[in-house]
Amino acid sequence: MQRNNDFQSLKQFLEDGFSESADVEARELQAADKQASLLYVKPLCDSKLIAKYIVSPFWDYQTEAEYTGFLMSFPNCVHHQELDTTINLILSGYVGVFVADRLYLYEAKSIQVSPVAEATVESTVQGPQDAFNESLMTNLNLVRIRYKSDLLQVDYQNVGERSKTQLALLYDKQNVNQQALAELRRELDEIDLKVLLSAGHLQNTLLRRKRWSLFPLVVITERPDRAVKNLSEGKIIVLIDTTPFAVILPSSFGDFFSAMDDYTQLPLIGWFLRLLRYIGFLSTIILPGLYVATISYNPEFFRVQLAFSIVASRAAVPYASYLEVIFMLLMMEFLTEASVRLPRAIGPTATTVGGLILGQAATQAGLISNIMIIIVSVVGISNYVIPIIEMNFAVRVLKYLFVLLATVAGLIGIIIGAILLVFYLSSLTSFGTPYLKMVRGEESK
Amino acid sequence: MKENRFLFYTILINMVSNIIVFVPHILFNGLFDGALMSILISVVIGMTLLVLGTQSLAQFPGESLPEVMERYLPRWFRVIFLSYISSFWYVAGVIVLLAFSTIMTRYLSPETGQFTILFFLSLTVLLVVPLKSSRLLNGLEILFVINIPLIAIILLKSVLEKNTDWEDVYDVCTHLVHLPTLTMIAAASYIFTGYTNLVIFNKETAIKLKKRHYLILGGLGFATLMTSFFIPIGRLGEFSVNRYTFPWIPTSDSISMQYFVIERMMIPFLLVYLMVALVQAVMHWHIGYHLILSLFRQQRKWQNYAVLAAFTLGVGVLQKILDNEYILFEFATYWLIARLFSEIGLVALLIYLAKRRRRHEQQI
Repeated sequence: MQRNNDFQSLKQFLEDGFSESADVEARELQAADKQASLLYVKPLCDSKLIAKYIVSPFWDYQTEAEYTGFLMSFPNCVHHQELDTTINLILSGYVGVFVADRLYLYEAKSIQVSPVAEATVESTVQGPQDAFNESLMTNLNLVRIRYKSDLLQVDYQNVGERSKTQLALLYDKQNVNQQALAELRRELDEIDLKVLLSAGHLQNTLLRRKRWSLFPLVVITERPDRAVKNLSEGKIIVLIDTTPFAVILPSSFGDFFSAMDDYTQLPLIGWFLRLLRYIGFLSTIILPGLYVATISYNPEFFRVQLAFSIVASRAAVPYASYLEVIFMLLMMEFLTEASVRLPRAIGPTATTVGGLILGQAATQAGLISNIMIIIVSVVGISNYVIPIIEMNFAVRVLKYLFVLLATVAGLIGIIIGAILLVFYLSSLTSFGTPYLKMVRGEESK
Repeated sequence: MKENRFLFYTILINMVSNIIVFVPHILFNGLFDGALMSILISVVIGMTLLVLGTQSLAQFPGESLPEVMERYLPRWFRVIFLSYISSFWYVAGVIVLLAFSTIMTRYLSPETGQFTILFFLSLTVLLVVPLKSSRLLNGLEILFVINIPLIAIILLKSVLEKNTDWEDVYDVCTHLVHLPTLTMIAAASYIFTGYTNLVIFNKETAIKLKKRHYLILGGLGFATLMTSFFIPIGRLGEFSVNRYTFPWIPTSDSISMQYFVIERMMIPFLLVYLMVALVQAVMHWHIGYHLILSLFRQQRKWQNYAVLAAFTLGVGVLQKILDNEYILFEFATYWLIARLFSEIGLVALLIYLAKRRRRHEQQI
């Protein structure tokens, strides 16, 4: 009787612990004189294996004893020993089979159905190379195998009147940001869409009230390891079926500047890399404006020799510096846009034609100064130092504001721009958390 | 320190920005007539006000001055006192804007025209002022962390610079024993005024100041006064410093950075101080804005716009009245003196309120 009680309470405990999560399957098998129940995490297990080795034999054997004997004859089937081990086994793809007051754990791990590709948008040097793909189950598998905790909660939701796209909200039950979760749920309930196209589309729909924001307020990633790291920090991951990208929220400005490499390298080197990205960010937004301000307003800004060489290289250029900057920046934008859209085979042609021939010819024709070419290349390169591609796009727009301010007010314009930028960033919020903040982990007011 | 940090930022930014509101110029005008003595006395006065003011405000954690006054004082007094005191913050912001637009026109961008520069600066400040206090302080923190190292480098560079005439500095020191003047005390004690911003920011920051914090603040204030007083004397000479309205700018122009892409120290100095000045103006107006808004019985959206519009209009009017820097300088001098007495009044009120609260608690 005692034993029976234990078993019932264990079964109850496991089912309660897991069943809140939508991807957990708890199933009863009932025949005339025998019964069994199954408990497993669906995306982690192979349903064919379960059907062939667990469900069919149940109907083939006469008694429960024969059935358990059959199960235990497999090397990948074990008895229940301790609660923790059992939870871990179930979370790593074992099926819990409750028969005759005993719990058997049968390994039925799913072997990847759709191949997991290498990360191409956010590549790292020494980190894991897996990327999310278009299948929600695969993506859940990629997260689950990296986050083997029963605190991981998965909620399903459908979005889109016609597309009925399945979303999975993943979060750590213990340390999730409750305020953000509530706000996300509210926003998701209010979504009124025909079809949901992609992670970026979801971002725009969620943040439709902040449509005029210049900066991305949620991180969109293709890396399961980034998703898992953010899960452990109490953030929410939204996986979207049919999209190889996940949405992470709430996000802060600093999140867009961290690459997964920062954690695989030594801490000091990680810091250096992060500093490098901030310097890159600053130079890409300020350099074009600074060029206009120094050439047209304050040539004495630089030391004399440098000022002379800048002026000398500009001697043949017939128009004001702001036009020069805008022409060159636009040229660069065209090149970037073209090389994104061009088929792989023709891609290099555009870069060669644009980079080499145009740059050289434009200076020799006296349309653009040499210094300008250097600045545009620095701007172009340092723009792509920022690891999250959304921020790249935001920064591409931002530098024109600085060019505009520098054109109308010179160096004063740049300082005004910097101050407005800082206050603008600190006035933004992403799902209730401040976007830019020096000290983390404080309550927002 | 973590919960106190915003308090330190407001006080330190105020110390750093003394150069803009004519403090050094006022001191140099009385170089041999008690400037040093006034500095020493003003450290005592300023620190006393700071300690009394912060300790009294610490009795009301998480409350701004208007909210505290609403509990203890009649409405007519509140309206009169708050509108009087808010004008000081507003005028402080205007002086910063006017002085800095003058500086910018003269030293950085003579072709642009003062009015255009003033327009851009005021527009920037007006865009930032209506932010929530907590957000504003977050931004302030970031600008502070960016600027303070730059200011430290500039000051260090100017102290270590060769060809500084220390003889002149020693000579000025021999004039220590001399009667101080009210004007100079009022000017020098301005350094310690940053804590008054707490009348609004008290909502966002805790005041947990211990003895060592006060010692640090007093030391920093004294060091700020000493550097902003002695370095221009050493660079420009004791008999010619008082000829410059903004003596720190020629001082920074006399320093060259031999091994850097920018040779003249003046331009980075101006740009860093432009940032400091704008932050300072934002803070002043933010406080003034909130004090004025607290006068209304019911909060409505149009009041915010009306106050901001009045601020803008006021800048235009004051720019017309104070259109040259002599008048502006005179105005700033009177403002500094009036400020000293109003500050004493404000601190007295804070002490009274703290006493009222204690008595109130005892009754319960």
